[in-house]
Amino acid sequence: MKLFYLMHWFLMYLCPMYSSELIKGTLKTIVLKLLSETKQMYGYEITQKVKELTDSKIVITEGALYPMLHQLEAEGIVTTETVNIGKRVRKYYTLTSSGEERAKEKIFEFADFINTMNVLLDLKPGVSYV
Amino acid sequence: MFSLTEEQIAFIENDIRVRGITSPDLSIDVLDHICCIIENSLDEYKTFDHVYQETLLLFGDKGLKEIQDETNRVLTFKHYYLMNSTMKISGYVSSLLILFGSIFKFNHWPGASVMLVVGVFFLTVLFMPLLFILKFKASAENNRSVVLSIIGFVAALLICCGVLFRVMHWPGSRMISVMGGVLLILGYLPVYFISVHKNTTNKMNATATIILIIAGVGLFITETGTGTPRPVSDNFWRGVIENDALLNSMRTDNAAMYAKLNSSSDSAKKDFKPLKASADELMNYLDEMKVYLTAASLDMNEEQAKQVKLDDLRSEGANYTITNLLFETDHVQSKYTVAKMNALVDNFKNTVKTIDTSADLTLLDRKEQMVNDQPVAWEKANFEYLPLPLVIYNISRLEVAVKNCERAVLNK
Repeated sequence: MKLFYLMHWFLMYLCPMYSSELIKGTLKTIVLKLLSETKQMYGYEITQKVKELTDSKIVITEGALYPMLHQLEAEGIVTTETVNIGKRVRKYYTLTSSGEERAKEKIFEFADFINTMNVLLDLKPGVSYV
Repeated sequence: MFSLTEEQIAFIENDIRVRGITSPDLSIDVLDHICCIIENSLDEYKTFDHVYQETLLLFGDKGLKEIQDETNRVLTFKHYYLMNSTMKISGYVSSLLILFGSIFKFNHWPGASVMLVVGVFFLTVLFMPLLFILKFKASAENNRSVVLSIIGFVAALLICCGVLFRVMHWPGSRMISVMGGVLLILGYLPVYFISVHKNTTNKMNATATIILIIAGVGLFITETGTGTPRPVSDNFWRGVIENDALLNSMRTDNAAMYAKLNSSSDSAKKDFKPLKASADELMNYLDEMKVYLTAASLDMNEEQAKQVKLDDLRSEGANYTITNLLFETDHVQSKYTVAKMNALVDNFKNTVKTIDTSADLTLLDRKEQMVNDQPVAWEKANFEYLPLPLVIYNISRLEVAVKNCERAVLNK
């Protein structure tokens, strides 16, 4: 079992599907998009949702997620609400109205970026480049 | 799915705090996150301890502390750019205000004091605290540099206030500046020296900084006049004492002559009343001016200044009189000014002229004087940037001249 976790750790941190440079710039966009779709999410839920949606190709680490969520909160993009879950407290994150604006901007910006990259790299959809 | 017990949750909460999750706000997130992972991996074959250790492995050795550090960094620097630009702007504004304020002050143009006060205000209230905070945040991991920043900040604050108080002639300036200087040398320097001594790459810079601080503070303390006072030379002092004696004898002589005239013929008595009035007004003004300048220069109140004997001033040769007060135009504190003094001297001269048209008033001519081969206005040559005993002496000489003219008229 320990071996399994070591493998999991290895896959998670050392051998991600995409390079960390690539993920870094998109993390905020991913989280904002998820929050704009699902009104209320907690941290673990976000990581699981991303894993599930991307078939584990993109894994958000706690070390990147929580500092970013706290930054978004400080900037007034998300608000938090704590709810008692059994014997512990869970913090839910919700977009504010300015946060929804920001989510739209971020998604639009990224879509535009992808179009530009398509042109720049002459990518054709559906073709495997590996 | 298994659910964790209260004890297990409390255990995790405590353990992640020990492992570096110090802020309660982040602790809620991380605790819930870890609990979720554990609850999803627990089954009847695994113990809590085992799963918890495996979960910690997911975070890596220093993973939890890194989350806390990254969160701190992100939150600290949220306002970083705003703080940084505020610091820069307030720094530029205050240095310009202080620069122009001192140029204005030097030339006795109006507005100097306002500029200096506002400039130092910006420096001490905005620039220095922001500099301190930003520096403090940048080196948050090193306790010694935090102590260093605090000491440096307080010392700089004291020195700035000391200079401002001095320039504005507020009481206590010397005390404040000396406290700042002492703190810098006895507090800042040792800590600074120890902290860089361990860091070999910075030794050269450190030595330069230490030398600069010692030299700067030394010059500053010398400038504020806390060094050993330089006594005035014997020869000069004899002149000062003789002049004072002459003045006192003329005061009594003239008073006696007034008394004599009063008791004699009625016709002459009326003529001398305005002369006595204008002479007394001028003499009183000059006497009070001496007290006022002594009080301002020696940082005491006027009652104390009245007790100061002429001989006490001899050791004040190194201390410049705060005579710029006399030239102030924008200064509300300035009770005595050169302009007012000149008006009173002119008034006295006119009074003498009305009584005796042929009176010799050359002693009261305020002609330009040569100072270092440059013609300088009489007022500046006699009162500006001179040691206190010399200024007192110059006022006394003027008083002798007044008494002399008075006596010449009375003698006729």
